Amino acid sequence: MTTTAAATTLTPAAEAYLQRVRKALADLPEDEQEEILGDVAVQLADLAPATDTDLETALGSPEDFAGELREAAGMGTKPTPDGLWSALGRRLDEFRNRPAIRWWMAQWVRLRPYWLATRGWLLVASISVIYNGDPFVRFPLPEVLDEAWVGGAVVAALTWLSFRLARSPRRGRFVDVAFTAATLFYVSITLSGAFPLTQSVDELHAGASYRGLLGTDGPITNLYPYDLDGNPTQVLLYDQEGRPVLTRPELRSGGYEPLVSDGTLIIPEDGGAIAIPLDENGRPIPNLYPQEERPSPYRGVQPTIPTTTTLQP
Amino acid sequence: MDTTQVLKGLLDTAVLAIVAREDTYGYDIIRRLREAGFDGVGEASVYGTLRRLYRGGYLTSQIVPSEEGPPRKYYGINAAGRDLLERSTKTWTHLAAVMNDLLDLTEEAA
Repeated sequence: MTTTAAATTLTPAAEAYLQRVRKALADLPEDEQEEILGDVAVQLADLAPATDTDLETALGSPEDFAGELREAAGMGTKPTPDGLWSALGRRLDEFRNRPAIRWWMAQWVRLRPYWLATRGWLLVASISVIYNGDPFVRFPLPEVLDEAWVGGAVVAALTWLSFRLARSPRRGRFVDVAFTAATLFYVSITLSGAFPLTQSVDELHAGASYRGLLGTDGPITNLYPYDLDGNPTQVLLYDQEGRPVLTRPELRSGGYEPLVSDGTLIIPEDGGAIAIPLDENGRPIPNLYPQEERPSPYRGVQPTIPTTTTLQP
Repeated sequence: MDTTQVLKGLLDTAVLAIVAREDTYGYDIIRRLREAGFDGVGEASVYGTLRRLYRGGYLTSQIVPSEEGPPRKYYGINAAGRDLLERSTKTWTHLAAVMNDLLDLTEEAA
């Protein structure tokens, strides 16, 4: 039998006692430990609920109990570590034996089965919340690969793994700790609200240092204002704080970029020009998108503007 | 006289004798030992003895589910265990006879 099986039936005090015996036998082969602890767990299960007597009073300290057992089994005494680790171990034991810590440890032992049963779901659900935003189309199944049934299968596999790891505390300890750490990490991120990690372009730009004008598909590189008659016109655009609206922030030192209606169109992008479609009367057709952008030769000088071009007829 | 030390020397034989009657588990063996008068025997000593006898190839074991708690490991005796029990019984009988004779002579002398 295993102590996991025992853990489901032992009282917190008995489980704590058993864990201290396990620690005192930690140098023995794992199979041997499990065999011994399986025998001891039966007695603890019988003793603990039937009496209010402290187990240490009835059986002696777990360390003494393990020492006597070793002697009777011909297993020798536990190797005594020395130096820094020994001192740290003693301090840790003293810490664990404090009443408050023992109380919390007992609560943890009581709640541990629930943790083992739910941590797989917590891990998958947290990751799903973080990366998918809203993962619960079919609550409580989180979506994995956009499928709730895949999420359910992953949760089931992780739940099985969770209990399996708990039953092999030595071999699976590293994986068990990694499992717990990953779960706590992603759950804490989820609870902190710092998600989703994948952002839309809007969110990315809104939170970034980009200071130009943004549209739904990214930075707006130019604006083409027209009057009510459909003719290109010249405007000055400012934001709510009186700052010039820039379509390209690298031009901030040059003020703003005007669009003129007299045939000169300011194109800040390497001398390119916009070919504005014209109607049969030669007038530009307003609000027609997409407009083709093509390069044209640089033809003028604007002292405060990096580049100017002439509107093509 | 330190009875604990004497009991430890006899524990192997006592445990084998109990298991030879019927398969049973560690805690029940402790209870039977105490009912038989081995009050001073420690639980840990019994568990350690069981493990040593099992590793020595004198006992068998099997897990049996229990409705009252964790599954219990029932120990049973095998041929090697019975042989050991038989030899231990002879040794004990001989030693007990020698001790009785010795103590009777002592009493007579007194």
